[in-house]
Order: sequence, then C-alpha cells, then structure tokens
Amino acid sequence: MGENTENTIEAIVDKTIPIAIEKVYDAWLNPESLKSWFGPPGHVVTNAELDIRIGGFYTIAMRSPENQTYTLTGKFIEIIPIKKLVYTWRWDQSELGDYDTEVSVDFISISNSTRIVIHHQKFRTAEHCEGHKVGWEGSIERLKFL
Amino acid sequence: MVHYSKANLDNIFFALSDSVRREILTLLLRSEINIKNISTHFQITLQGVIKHIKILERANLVQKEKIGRENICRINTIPLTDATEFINYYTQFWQHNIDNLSDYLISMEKKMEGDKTNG
Repeated sequence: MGENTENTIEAIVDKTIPIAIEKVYDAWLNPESLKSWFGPPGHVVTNAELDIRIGGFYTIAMRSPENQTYTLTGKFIEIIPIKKLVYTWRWDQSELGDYDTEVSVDFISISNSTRIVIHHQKFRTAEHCEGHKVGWEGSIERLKFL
Repeated sequence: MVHYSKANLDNIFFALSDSVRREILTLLLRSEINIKNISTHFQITLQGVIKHIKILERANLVQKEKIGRENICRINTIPLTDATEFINYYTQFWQHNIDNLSDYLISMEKKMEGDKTNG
C-alpha cells in the first residue's frame, strides 16, 4: 500500500496564551528561553542550538530526572516569521521513535494574546508497546479519525 | 516479551477508516472467528470480507491462521495501543510545554514591570 498521506494521524494541540505574538515566537526559538519552558516534564534543557533558516538544523539536549541525557534534533522546513514554523523532530531514543516526525506550529495573534496550533505528525512505527489487551471494546469506534 | 508491531500507522488508520472493518474488529474482540462466518454478519460477499481482512492484516490488526479447512481470524490490539499512545504522549507533551511557555513569559512580563516601577 502507498503512503496514505491524506489521512495523517496527528497529535493536535490548540491553545491560546495571554502573551503578545512577537514574544511567543521569540521564546519558541531563543535558546536561553527554551531552557525555561521546553521539554518533557521534569527534564532540564542543558544545551540548545538552532540554525534558524530553511534547511538549518537544531539540537536540544535534555537531562532527565534519572540523569540521562536525551537529544532532540531536527531541520527547519518552513519558516514564516511570527506566523508559522515547520520542522522535523527526532529523538536519539528509540522508545520515543528514532525517526523523523514533523511538527508544524501556527502562531495566530488575537489582540494581546497568541493562539498556538500544533500539529505533530508523520508517526510511523511504534516499538515501545506493552501490549495491553484491555479496554478496547468500544474504543475502536472512537478511533475513527478519518 | 511482546512482539514488535511493525505496522505502519498509516495502514492502521486506513484500516480503521471503514465502518465494516471497525465492525469486524469489534466482532473479533469477542472471539476469534472463521472467515466464512464473518460474512454471515454483514451484507457483503465472502470476497468482500476477504478484501477487508487483507487490509486489517496489513495493518497487523488481524492475524489469520489456517486450521484444517478453516481460516480463523483473531484480533491483535497492539497496533491500536501504539497509535493512541503516540497521540496521547505528544498531545500531553505539547499541552505541558505551552503551559510552561505561558507561565514563563507571564513571569518575565511581571519581572519587567517590577523593574520599571522600582527603577
């Protein structure tokens, strides 16, 4: 079967925060700011480097609560300043998928607030399964995202 | 050790996009079933059922086993777990991060205002 690109599965988050769009956009790409807000819960960003141009790479290193280092890397695909970012996303840890997924972020100004819409997509295989065969009765109907 | 699911998530969601295939899976959740008997539950031909089963197999949602003259189908729920775990993980990840970003920027604004009034 070919790639079913029309019907991509994705995590979508749509949130509005009471901050002006320029500040939000800057904090999204500023290595120093990233240290203050980015990462999975309990993780500390130890280093962030971003080459903010189309085709440019970024690397964000993090330390987990268990003192393990994780690195997130990716490449900028689309940059529309103060409006839209699209970049690839890859962890160096296989349980989170050591292949490229894709993140798109739309920044929308609403008076003094900013609506942030994230689409995280292009998930391929999952190799972190525990295989719980519970609770699926009824769940299949809910899974019809298409 | 649970065996790996190599099914492409696109295949999984394509398989789930059809109401007959979802009904087949719901049927298989209750028990494994001979492929011929599946067709009696639906208003479609055996050929049609075989087609749907093939799509479900490709997504690794159904496993087929030949026992004598019967083709027994059983469900494999692991790919379903994979698909939802990914989506749940990243939905929570981004919600958490946007909350953090908001808290951080609000605290920065307060700090700047404080500096202004003090300075």
